Amino acid sequence: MKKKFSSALGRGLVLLMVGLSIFSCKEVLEVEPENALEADKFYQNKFDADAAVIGIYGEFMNLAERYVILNELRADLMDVTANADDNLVQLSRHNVRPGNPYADPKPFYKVILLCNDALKNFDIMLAENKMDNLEYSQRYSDIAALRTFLYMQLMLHYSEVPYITEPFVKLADVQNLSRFPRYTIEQMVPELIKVLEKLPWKEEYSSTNSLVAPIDNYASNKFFIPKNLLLADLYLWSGNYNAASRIYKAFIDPGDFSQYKIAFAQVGTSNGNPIQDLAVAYIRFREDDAFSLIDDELDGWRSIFDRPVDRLFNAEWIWYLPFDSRFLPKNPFIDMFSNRGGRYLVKPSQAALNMWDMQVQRNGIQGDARKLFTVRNINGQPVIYKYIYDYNPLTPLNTNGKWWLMRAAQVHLHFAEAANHDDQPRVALALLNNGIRNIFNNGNTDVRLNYDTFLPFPYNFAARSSDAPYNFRDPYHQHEGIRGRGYVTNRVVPANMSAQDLVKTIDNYLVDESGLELAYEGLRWGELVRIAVRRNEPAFLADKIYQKLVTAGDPRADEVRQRLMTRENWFLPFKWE
Amino acid sequence: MHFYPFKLKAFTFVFIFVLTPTVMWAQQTDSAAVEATPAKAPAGVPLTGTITDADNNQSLAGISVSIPGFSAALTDDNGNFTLNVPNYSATVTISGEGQQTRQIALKGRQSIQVSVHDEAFRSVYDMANLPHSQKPLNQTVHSLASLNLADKWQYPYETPDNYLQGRIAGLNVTRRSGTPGIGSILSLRGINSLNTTNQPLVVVDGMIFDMNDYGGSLIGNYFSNPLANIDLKDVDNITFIKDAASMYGSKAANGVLLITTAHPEELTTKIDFAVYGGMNFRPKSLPLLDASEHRTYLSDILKTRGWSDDQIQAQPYMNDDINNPIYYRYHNNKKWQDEVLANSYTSNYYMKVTGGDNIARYGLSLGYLDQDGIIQGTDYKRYNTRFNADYRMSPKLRASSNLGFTYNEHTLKDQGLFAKTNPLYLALIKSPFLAQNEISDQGVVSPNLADADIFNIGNPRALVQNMNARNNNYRFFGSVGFNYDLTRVLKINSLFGITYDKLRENVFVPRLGTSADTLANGVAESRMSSQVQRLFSLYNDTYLSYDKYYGTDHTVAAKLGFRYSNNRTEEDYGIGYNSATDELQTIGTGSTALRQTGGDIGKWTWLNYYTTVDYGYKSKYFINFNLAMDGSSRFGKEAESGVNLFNNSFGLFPSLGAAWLVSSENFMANVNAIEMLKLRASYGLTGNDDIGNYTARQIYVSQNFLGQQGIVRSNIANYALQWETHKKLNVGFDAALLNERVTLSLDVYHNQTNNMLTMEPAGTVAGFDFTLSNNGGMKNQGIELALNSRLLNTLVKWDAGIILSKNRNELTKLPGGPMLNSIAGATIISQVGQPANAFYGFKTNGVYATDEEARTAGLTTRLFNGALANFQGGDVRFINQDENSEINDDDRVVIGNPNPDFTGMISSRWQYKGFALDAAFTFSYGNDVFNYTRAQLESMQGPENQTKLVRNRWVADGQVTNTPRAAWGDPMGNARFSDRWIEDGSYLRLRNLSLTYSLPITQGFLKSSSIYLTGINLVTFSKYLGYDPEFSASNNRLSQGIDTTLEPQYRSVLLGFRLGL
Repeated sequence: MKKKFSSALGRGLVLLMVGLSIFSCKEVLEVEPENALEADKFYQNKFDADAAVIGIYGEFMNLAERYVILNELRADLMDVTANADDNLVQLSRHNVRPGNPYADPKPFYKVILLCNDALKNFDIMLAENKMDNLEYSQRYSDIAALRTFLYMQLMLHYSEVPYITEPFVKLADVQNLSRFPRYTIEQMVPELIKVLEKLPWKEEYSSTNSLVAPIDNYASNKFFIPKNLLLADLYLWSGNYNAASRIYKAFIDPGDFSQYKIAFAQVGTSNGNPIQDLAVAYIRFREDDAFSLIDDELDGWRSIFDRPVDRLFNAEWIWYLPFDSRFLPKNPFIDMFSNRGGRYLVKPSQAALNMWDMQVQRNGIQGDARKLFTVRNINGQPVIYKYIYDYNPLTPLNTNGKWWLMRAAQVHLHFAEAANHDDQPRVALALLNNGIRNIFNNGNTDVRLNYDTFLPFPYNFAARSSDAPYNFRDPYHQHEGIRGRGYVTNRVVPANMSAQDLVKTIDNYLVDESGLELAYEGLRWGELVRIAVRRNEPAFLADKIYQKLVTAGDPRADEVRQRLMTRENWFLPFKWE
Repeated sequence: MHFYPFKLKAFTFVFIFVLTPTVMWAQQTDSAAVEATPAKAPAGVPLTGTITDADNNQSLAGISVSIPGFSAALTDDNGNFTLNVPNYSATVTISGEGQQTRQIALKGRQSIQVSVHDEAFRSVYDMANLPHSQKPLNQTVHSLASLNLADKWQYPYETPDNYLQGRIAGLNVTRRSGTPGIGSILSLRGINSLNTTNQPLVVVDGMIFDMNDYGGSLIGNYFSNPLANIDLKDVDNITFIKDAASMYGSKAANGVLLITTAHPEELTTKIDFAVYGGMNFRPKSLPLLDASEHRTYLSDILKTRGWSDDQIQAQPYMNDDINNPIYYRYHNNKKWQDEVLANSYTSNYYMKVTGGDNIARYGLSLGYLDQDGIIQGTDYKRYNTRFNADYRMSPKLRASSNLGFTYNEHTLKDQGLFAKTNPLYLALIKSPFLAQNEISDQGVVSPNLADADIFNIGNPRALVQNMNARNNNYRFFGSVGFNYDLTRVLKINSLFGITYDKLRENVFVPRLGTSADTLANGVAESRMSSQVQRLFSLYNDTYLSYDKYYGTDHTVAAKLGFRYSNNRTEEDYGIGYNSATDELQTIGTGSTALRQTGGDIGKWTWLNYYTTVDYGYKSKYFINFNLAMDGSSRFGKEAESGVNLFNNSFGLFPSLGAAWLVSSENFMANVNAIEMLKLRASYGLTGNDDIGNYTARQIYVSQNFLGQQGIVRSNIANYALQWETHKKLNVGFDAALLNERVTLSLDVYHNQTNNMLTMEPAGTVAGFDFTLSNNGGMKNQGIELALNSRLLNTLVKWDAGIILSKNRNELTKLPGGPMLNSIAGATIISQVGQPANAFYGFKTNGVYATDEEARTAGLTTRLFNGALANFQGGDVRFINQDENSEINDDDRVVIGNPNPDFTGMISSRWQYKGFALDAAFTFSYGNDVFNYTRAQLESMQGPENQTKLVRNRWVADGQVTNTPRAAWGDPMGNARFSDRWIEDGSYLRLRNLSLTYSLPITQGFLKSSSIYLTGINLVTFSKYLGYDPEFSASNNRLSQGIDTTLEPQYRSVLLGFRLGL
């Protein structure tokens, strides 16, 4: 009996051995990771596609510091403090040496790779009917536009940029990286325009899209890149000014009187509370008193950067991304800007401070009030404040803040630039100065024949506001223009200027205004490069940087100017490894 | 060897799939053959002889003399025997109770006189445990070391890895620190791989013993050492295979350590009981500044901060007015090291019961160990049990079980680079004029501990008393094996086992007495964390074995089988901060906003088909062939150098070894001095599968966007990612002279690592930092010697031995140029043509005596803000290596090599009657050490206390000294990583000294009793300036030789008593 049992067991062992060794091998070596997702398990439905979009924006957030530092510190309005390390000093002085981490383009390419990976798989999902056409086109367009934005950034900072649109799947894909075309600005712009023009969806995500839902109490609709405006900006680069204007105009037209329309200051009250606005203003009837400047979290120009996400916030902001201390990444701006709890690495340049100080307000007070909201004097030091209104050094744990990416003022200034080059200098001046109503006031007492450009789209602005004899509330009746809203006096152009000089003069005004209004919002370097390239005039850019350095008393100012007179030297070294 | 894949592919198919049925078929014919054999009477020629005891030359009765499978006889009372042998060039085997088993080659002799040693004698005829078989050492073809652990009762606290230190030529054992149970970092024959494990494969009782670390520890520089789960007293034999152990395929690249635990051999019930107690002695304090010296130093360093004399005098610690209320707080003379280091105690109890009957034999052991560390507040407790049993279920079916369960409780402190929580480090940098407790204005000492001081340095006593860092872990490691005789020559074996390992850690760092940490979104006052790690693995090893003598000349032993292991690890942790009081120590009591959680899961499977063929001819010529075919869930499906099977790529690992027992040849008959001489050579391939679980696949991981989780690509997959290939060539000889009074082994090897896993920088535009590929190469060459001799063989016996190893490591291929790694401020360079882990830093040449001299030298360095600054008097003279006059990273050169030139051991054993005195010296020669601790204590850049050396610092122009000036923040980088901090780490240590007295057996029930007096680390000779030159701050082979202020090695003395009932 025992023998029988044991020999049965023995046979069993033989069977087991043969069985295990042959049948199960295939399955045995298949192991599914639980803390990661294998490629063939991903991109199965639209929620996977949402996850890809969310992941990409999550990764994109890591570029915030780099975006601001590269675009501002390399330009004229930002300077280093004594706390800054050598790497920042190199950026500010335009003598970047190899190994400078800020000059490394890799973080951009990391996000680009994620975009490429998503785009290719979205295509496959569409082909395999894993997403319908609408779901596909919205997500695809969003990510393709974001990738375009990244390449635009790269093109601004590196002279020749490898243009890669395929996801690297295999090791072999990354072994001959020099096979990709390298584009200069002139080559890159048409390429990017092609991509954007072909996008199947150029609007925001539709309200029914699953991506349009609050994320941790933040409405997500302003997180995604405005595809159309990006295209319009690229048209500005390529010289297709009319096309650019059409997009800008179409963008600001809809909505109420204040939506994206740079509305005037409200003087009335509603239910006993002052009606809030986003304009520089003084307490009524005390306009001559510098101390009555409205400096409020919820009212006035300062509130653009300080107010919660409400109707007025949405009337100005088009694209922003929030930093929340509960989640990574950490808000980099407190460390960068604050001298109370941060490391205070960068500050406004003396040239920038002078620029504001040279403006005159409409009440005659010297100096642009926007300076006081952009730069605060804390403990005797000028501190860039646009990003750190939400930060209180007494509650250092709360590091909430926002990455500012695009707002209505930028659209207006770019629109003005397009109009200026599209033979509409008056429209440009109206957008720049104090609005359609004031610039297009032809004195005609018949309100129906006044306060209107009487131009075809995209320069058709109507700005009437009349109760009698006709009741008009035209869409642009609250339009105040950038300088009007900033409460500074108009830019004037001499009456008998040649058309060519006029365009140039207005362009210069626009660049200056962009500095006054949009300083430190990550646009400066792009504006300088665009104008300098368009005019083929390196001195334009070199002089601005020279001004910054010479005003700061930097002995190397001349040397830097000399270097920047050659276009190649505007750019950072492209680190290949 | 580029031709092998194709040929072996074909060969393997033939072997594995064709041979399987052949073996089955062989089963039937062989059973017939076996039954026919015993009927014949042994033919042959007569052999006569006498057997005596080698110790006293008395003749031995009852000794078995045999030719296995042919004939056997016993000696009579006079030690004489007569045996039929097939011919006079045969080899007879001699064995007897209490005596060694040995082989005698007749070499044409018709009569032999043999004197045999006792069982305990370390002999060339001892059995070595090989995977699935045992073989006398004189017949093995591998380069191996076999230890029978005769002295294991003397070292109750040694973990098996520490025990191996110096005992195996070629195995470099570096104890991680003095922390009890923490074990050693092992590396066989140098560094074999840059990015994968260098840990040898450990096989315990036939089952792979997982040695990996899953997720690390929350406690600074603590490693949970799996080998600490094995009580040395349970171990019977440790064998280390050093050359190509191809049967373990892709796991054998770093050698195979086979541990065999004791199974009962006798049926009588035996009880072994041992008890030990001992004391550990704290090391000597490092020489630091005393209170007044530190005050002088402070006034000097603060001046370089730009403070005026008035500002400095206004500091509370500069006040000398006894009426000032703060006077007493700053006027102490504390020796902080004495508050952290202290002597401590250890104890160990062990009991083992063995016995059984013809059907079942069992051995049950229980142990308890309590070992305190020399850092106060640390200790280690271990509870271990083991149940080993053998069952004879039928004449053909046998089973055995090996079940071990060990529970460890560790109470620890942070060590190493945890500047705010390492109490030993704090004791070094804390100012001696401060007190450990609060002191009132009147000078009354409060029982309350003082908080972090004016320099923001914590109170070491707060950590010693109130930091709570516990690691509790257990491992169940159990297997059941079956062995079924299909025929007398063909057997089937199968072993099933599981490893279940669980580790739990809890850490609490108090708020009072520590300096706060800064977090991303907060300030960490008190810190608490917990983690759980779990390993579950299933193991099976099933094989057919075939053993046969063909005639008297040929022996064949073949095995064909497979191994399978399925593993799953999980790690979960939580970290919290800032509970309301230091009494609340769990994560849940911390601030919700700062809580963090995380974890990981890893899974992999491994499948290994193997065959081993041993062929012996005339007991003189031996050939061993191994072939393994390995599949793993880790390997890429497109791995190129493997065979494709079941849609997976399998690696092939063949090895061939041969040995020639020259001494058994007839022409050696008259060379009586040479008892045994064996030449051997082996060549083969092994692999390393430690390439990451999912690195060969394209995977996506979680990425948050605010609180929402998205998914992003995490790698560029290398579908061809595969095992590393390690080619091992070994040539050596084993010899025994003068009736084994001298034994000698010499090995020369050349190991080449190919397909070495590299992390190549991916181009900028690739989007990822690294890609993984098998593009590297490494080479190790070396020589090993093991020499043992019995110098005296009289009433006093004296054995002495030396083990010596030398290895030269060289990186042969590394794409992407030199690789630099940074740890503790040191830069480690791995570059082709050099050892893989050289220290890379600045060379110095003293200190500029005058400003003038510095100006003449004309060197500059870059300050933090990018400005160039000139060196001045009192700065270090860095050697400028390039054209420009700026001292920057380009001026770095190799300044040290942490790999020793020689390591080894000198051992000695005296025996007189019941007394035995064992002594063992271990040594390491020629290894460089980066003394990070000293670099901190002589950097003179902050308020931290410094060593006495800084009294010689440069203070005035013209002063000639080799110690630079003090400078706040070290703007000139005088303390940067340079040869100033590189020291010679060579040492010679009296590692073990043990006196044993075995009492003459007196009573009937008392079978044996012994007393042990043992000293460990009694004397160390070294020029090293730190506490002790032996340490390992990381499990990474590349970052060895860096002293990051770990718990030092210490001396201990213990007394033990063992009873056998």
